[in-house]
Amino acid sequence: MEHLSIKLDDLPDEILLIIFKKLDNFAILYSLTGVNKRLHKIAHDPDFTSHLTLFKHLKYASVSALPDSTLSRFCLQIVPEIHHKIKWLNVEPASMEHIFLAKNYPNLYGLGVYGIDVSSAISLFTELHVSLEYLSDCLYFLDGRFNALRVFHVNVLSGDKDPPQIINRENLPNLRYFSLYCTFETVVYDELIIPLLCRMLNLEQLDLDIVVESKTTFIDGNDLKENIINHMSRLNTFTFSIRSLVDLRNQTELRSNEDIQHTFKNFKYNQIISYVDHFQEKQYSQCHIYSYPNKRKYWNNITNNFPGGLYKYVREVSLYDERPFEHEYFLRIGEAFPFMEELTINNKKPQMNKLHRESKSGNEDFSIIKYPHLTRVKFLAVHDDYVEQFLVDTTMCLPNNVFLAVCGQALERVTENFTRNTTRINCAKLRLVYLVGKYEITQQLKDYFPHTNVVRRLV
Amino acid sequence: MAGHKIKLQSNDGDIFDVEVEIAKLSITIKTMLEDLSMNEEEIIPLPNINSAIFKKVIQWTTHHKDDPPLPPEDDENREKNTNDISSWDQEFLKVDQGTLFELILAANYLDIKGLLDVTCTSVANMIKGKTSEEIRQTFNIKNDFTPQEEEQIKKENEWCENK
Repeated sequence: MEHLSIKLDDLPDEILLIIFKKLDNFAILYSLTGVNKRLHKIAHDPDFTSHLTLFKHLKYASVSALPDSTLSRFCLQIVPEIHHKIKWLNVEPASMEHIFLAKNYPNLYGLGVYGIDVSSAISLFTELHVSLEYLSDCLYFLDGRFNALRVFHVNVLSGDKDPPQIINRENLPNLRYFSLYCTFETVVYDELIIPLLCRMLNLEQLDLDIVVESKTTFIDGNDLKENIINHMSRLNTFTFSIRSLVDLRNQTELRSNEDIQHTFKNFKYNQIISYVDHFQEKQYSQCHIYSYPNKRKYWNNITNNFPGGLYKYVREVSLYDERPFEHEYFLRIGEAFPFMEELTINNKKPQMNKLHRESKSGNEDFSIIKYPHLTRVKFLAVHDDYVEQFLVDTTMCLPNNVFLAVCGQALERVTENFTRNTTRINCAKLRLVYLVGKYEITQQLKDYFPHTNVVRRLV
Repeated sequence: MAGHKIKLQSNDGDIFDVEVEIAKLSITIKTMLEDLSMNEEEIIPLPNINSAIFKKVIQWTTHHKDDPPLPPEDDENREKNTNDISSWDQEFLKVDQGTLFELILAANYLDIKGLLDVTCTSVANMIKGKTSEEIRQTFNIKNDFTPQEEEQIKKENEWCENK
């Protein structure tokens, strides 16, 4: 029997890398995935998983699909392990459907389609879901290169950027469904969003979720009719959540919620809810208009004027006001967002009804608040009353394993220097506490949180 | 000077007289001679290479002594062509796996780019198109994943997916 003095697996990593780099990434993944731990790990290095070409090169620049058995093994066994690492895929028409149905590719930013003429390639794209850094980036998708597109969903991850100058802005008659989600404030509603929507002449379904920093006035029903709906004769479903923010100093008269509701009279789509706030300290006004029911996953800057309702899709909530949030408000928030997982509170005003709550006097409902799905609570700039509201066991019953971010000094005051008995039960349920700002972790604090991971965080 | 020789000693004690121009295809030996000013009369030890492998290395370098230098490899745009092994090299590389891997290690130690390139290409060709089970059989590799670890990998993938 032949004696092998050195085996492949005995070679050092640097040599294996030289050998593997002789192969294309697909060949490495196909042959080495699952061989043993070491080779599996090397094969799954981002060097070999980020760019993949999934076809065979033939002579004269033509391509052919991989054999079915090869493609099946790749899609069933390898793609599930690396799909989140793939950034660029080169595919050919016969096998691309199989490849794209195997998994989602959440980090894919490049796609090469080979062995197909340009017009056929473009006609393949009738539906696109994209996450973009900037709002104006969506203009590139709508410059004519995807003119067969019927459904286009855009999720914007960051704020504004100057729109590109030289770009085709012809009408988009084939587009039927457009959605735009952007949680960052945009100042280009008039300059970019409205002109873009006006190009979608035959749109049947529109979903807008945006925050608009407006110069002089709120976006209301009249604005939507005049600038959007009147340009789309086939529009039959229009859902939206639009929060407009206007500098107080730019407003000649302060509009009320009744004024806003009046503009939605005879609005032919869903029920429209609105609320208006004028923040004197921060010198701006906010008007939130939205269709109801609503399937958004997050709800930001909710004030005391929020009229309630039921929003079972919402997982992230942030609260802000220049008037105090009373106990009853937190009960209302729990009813409106029964599946809320993350909550951020931003309110510097002390609670007015705290004394009534402690003496159980007055007519307010002081039943214990329960947010059964809550996993994260973040106190930004808050009065101690809100930290107390969440930690005292007669006002709140926290679920287990909650993550809390709070100012160290506020936590010290509310827990009476880590001795208070009525905050012990809720504190014991915390899994992780971020102490925001400069704060020394004392032995007394450690003793008060024996099973909680307490971490300082300067931000 | 053509024909001038130096003495190189393998790790099992054999001494080889090798033409300087051939020996200098090894960047390691070239550096020893030029930068470290080693006397050409001295016996240069090669502690990582046995005589059987060194004979093969001399055979390869002698055949390729007049080859033009290889172009520098651009990692991004490198051609993944594993079919371009010359017929002489193909014949030369008809050896058992142990010898092939020792040749790779020797080429790496001696820094002979052409030999390293062709030996690694040869191994790459042995890998290409095989399934993981065929790779284990071809290269006598044991699967050290436990069923629990395989399950764990699956779970981690699910976690990544839910991120």
